[in-house]
Amino acid sequence: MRRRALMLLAPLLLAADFAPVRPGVALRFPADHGAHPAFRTEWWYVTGWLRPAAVTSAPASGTQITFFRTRVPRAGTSGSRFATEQVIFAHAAIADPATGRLRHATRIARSGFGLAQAREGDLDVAVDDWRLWRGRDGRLHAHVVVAGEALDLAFTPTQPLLLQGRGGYSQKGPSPSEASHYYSWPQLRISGARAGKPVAGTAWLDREWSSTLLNPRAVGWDWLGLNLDDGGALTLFRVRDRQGQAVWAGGSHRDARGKTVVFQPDEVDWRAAGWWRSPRSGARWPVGPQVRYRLNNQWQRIEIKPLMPDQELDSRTGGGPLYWEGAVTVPGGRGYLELTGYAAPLRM
Amino acid sequence: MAGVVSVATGWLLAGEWRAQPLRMALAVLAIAVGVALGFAVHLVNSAALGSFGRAMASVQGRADLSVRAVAATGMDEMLYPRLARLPGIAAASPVVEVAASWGALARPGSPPAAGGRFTLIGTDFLRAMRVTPGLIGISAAGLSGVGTAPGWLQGRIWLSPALLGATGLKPGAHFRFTAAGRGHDLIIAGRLAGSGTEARLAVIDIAEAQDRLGQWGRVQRIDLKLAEGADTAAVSARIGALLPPDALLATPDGEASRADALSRAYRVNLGMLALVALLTGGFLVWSAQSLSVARRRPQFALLAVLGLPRRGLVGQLLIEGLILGLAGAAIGLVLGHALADLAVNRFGGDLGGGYFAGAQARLAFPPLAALAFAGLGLVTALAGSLVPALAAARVPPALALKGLGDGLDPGRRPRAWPGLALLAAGTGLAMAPPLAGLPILAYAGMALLLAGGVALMPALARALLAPLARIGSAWLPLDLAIRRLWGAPQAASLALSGIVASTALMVAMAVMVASFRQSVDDWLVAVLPSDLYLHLEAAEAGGLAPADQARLAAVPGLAGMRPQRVLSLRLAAGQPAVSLMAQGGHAAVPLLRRTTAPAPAGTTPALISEPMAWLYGWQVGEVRTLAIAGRPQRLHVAGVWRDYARQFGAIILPLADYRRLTGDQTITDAAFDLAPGADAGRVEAALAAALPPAVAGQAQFGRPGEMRRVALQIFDRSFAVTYALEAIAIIIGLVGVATSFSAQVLARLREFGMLRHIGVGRRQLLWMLALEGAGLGLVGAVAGVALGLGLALVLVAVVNPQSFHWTMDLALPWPLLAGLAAALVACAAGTAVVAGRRALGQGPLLAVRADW
Repeated sequence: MRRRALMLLAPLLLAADFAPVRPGVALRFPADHGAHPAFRTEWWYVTGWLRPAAVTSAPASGTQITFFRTRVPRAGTSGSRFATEQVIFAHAAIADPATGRLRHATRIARSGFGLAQAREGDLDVAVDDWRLWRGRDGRLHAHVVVAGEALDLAFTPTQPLLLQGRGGYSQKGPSPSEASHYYSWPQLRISGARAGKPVAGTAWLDREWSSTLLNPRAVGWDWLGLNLDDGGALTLFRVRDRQGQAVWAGGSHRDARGKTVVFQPDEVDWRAAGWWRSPRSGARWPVGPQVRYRLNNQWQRIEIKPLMPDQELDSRTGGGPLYWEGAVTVPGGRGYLELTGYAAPLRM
Repeated sequence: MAGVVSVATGWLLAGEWRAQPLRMALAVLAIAVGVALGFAVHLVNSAALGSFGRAMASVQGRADLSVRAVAATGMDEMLYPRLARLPGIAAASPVVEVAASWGALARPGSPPAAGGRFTLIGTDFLRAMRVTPGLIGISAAGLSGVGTAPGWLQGRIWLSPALLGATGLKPGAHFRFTAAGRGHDLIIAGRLAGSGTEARLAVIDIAEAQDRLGQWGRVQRIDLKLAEGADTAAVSARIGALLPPDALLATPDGEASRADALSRAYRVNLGMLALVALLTGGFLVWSAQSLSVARRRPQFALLAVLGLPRRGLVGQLLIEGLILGLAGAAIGLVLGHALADLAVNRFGGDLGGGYFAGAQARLAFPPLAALAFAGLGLVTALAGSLVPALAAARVPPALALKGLGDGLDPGRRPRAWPGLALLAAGTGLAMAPPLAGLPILAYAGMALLLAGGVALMPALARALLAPLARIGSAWLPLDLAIRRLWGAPQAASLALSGIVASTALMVAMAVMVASFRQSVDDWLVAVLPSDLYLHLEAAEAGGLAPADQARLAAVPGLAGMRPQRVLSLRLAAGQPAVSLMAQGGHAAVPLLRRTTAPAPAGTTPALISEPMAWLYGWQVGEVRTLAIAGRPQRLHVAGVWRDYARQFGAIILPLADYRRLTGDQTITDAAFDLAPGADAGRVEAALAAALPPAVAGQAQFGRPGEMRRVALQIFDRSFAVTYALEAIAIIIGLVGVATSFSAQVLARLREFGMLRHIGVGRRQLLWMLALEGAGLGLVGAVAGVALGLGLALVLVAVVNPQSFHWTMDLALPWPLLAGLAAALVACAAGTAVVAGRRALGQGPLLAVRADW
């Protein structure tokens, strides 16, 4: 569930005819790796843990590479090449515990002129010098530049895709229309280079597209995606209201053998905890939440530890939201935690 | 002894100043006026230039670099992705920029109307955010562009604070305006975040701008943000290699120098005039001090006898000069600031020159400039005192104690060569080429000519009076007057120096302005041959479409219509734009030079204006290449025409050729000839009704007579400062004559007493004084007018072409010159008589006794 660039479309209360999200629509690949321009928004969300390839003992760092596509409808016809409806927003961050701070960068552009586009048919999304695409070798590739450091990464799939919800239809609120098409690709093996030096690690791809995502009562959400050391994958999320109560919740657990369990809203219990106040924005973030989920009728408690508390991302000057997106560990796994709507309500 | 001297010095000094308050006040005033004018001109200029520069920077959004289309019609937008991908470029932001207007525009010369001009800008907000954050809107919700209200929402517009203020509109209101010949109605979404308080501009989405302005595929500029640590020169070279002929690379420095170039010549000339006024002040100080020295020569001799060394004498006079200079400078600064304040409020930052339309000037008090101008005033006063002080120190005390005449032997001929040498040097400098595009050397030459003329006065006075002196006269008063003037040329020239300097300057200005005005008037008649003119304001991006033109041409009562398309072209990055005028029908311009040779094949005939020829070095008969509509076109320069309206150059092309080359069918101007018997008012109304409603607010109709009147009014207003300068110079000069005369008369009391004693009647004495005065006035007038004509020649033939790149025909305002000479003579004679009457009021016995 994610995320923020959604903000781009915030005021689009226009009655535009976006494509609706419906259950029972089968996902087809590689077409669904590509863009769905008829929907209001979608994202390609790669999060992972990196370390230098040569030194296995070196401390790991977190990385996040995200591309958003947002459709801003236009009325009437236009003769201008600038009159495109699609906006591409990309965000990349590197969390080095040694520095204690996040380094991040953004790119944003309306599509067109060969400078920004999200291809249909297969994964290939680019904005200016940044690009995320699927190669003929079946691997995913990313090129981004963060604070002068180029990240050139390849992601090799080691497991099949994980369709979230009911065959890729993932409900996000009490109404069936509050939903997205959602699949993940856990346990991607990272190879490539960071600033020219070889790196290795494990990543996770999240793919969602939707036109109506949030319940009107919702102010934000929390999300967690974990690559488990045993080869399993755990996804948990909840949508919050103003009081911090869950409007909706969900997720899934897939074990190493591929057996997948989808959680019902009452099978996820998420409590904000481990508050950290950002010295820059003044916002408070629950970076160590207490999370439980019920798997096979048994409540499991996971203890979440952030790689470092300061993984706040302020992209407000670039037109994005203020949120917290951080590398976290749990006993027996590592992944990414996302917190939104804590500084100000997220409107979608 | 030293104590006695210093007491005596102080006492004499105070006594002198008590005795001659008017002359001292005059010297102070002369310095003050010079300082005030110089300071005021500087203040007004820097205020205007500063605000203009800030407004320009706002419109440009403070990008690192900008690629600009040379013409308002823009360039191919496909340059944008190519620039965006260049190494070293962090971000590129395409911009549509057109002139637009709201409400009804005021005609030049008429009271302000409820409307105005502004710059309409179309941006891709997402790009502008990184490159030109100043051009990003803040909506009512507080944040910019994306997020709270996507900038590319159609039907929305963001206004700069200055434009919001000017229109009186608030966010949420409808803003109706005209751009590219069409009416638009958009909702104000908010104000622009960082557009300063001076620029009037509005921002919409670039796609909407292209749609609304009919500008598909074209942008006016592409703003660039350099990557961190990028080498500007290397990136510029890479950009340069990409640029098509209709685009050029503009740097912030280049833009600033363009703003500077717009008005530089005008500002520098005004500044020079102020310095000339200061120079006049210097002459007045010199003349006042010289007279006072001459009168006090016995006092100085007494002091010398008492033991005051010569250095002390010079020092005393310099202290007097210092006090004069300090007082003058202080008064001048206060006066100058007040004057600048008045000028900015009355005429705007360009003193009516019309260079900075739309920018609101703010006056500051720059301490450094104030010090500089005060210093200039002080130096002038000191220099004016030093010369007579040195002269006084040279005179032997014995001769001085007797208080005889000039202190020089009347039999010795005054030297002419220093004056002649100065005149020769001045003439040489006046003919020198411009420095940095400005007539600095010509002005220096004028100063030397002035100094030479004044230095030549004693010799000239003697030369003029020599024949008379040889003949003598049977009429006693005339004989006495001639001999006196002939015998004491130094005293005569002292009285005259101020008046000669100020008369010469006044004559020079009057002749230059008269020549200019006459030439402008002739030119106006030549360029306005039709009966009715239509001009669309702010219509460069697109004026009247062919259908509208046809409707206008079909209006009854017309015998003919000559359409015209005007747009500005930027030929060089740091230069103001050149006007390209595509004219239908026969070009109505006064040609200065032309070629009868036919245009070579494949070229388009072009007429260029005089400034164009000067600035870009184009010659008649040459073939030059010019980028029109993105492609280089070969133009055959068929002639040069006189143009006073476009200081930075203009090119006339046949409209048919322009349309063939560009495909642009619109027009921005039209001239109409009426059918015989047609009523101009009715035709104008019919034409106005035939215009599309959207451009009604932009359309300005004019008739030749009224346009001429308005143009000359604007001309007079821009020269208002010059007229004021002239008036001040002449008043100071006349007052100077009056005071020098009365001083001289008072100094000659003993002489009068003696003359009375030997039987010369009171009436005869008065006649003698009147004749002396008239003679001096005449010599001054002749010398001043002659010198002034020389200076005028420098102004007309050197300063104007070098500054503004146009020529003019010399026209002499004879009535004014004659009147001036007559006023001088009358004033000099009159003052002499008035002073004489007062002096002769006491009995001859008393007067003679005072001598011994």
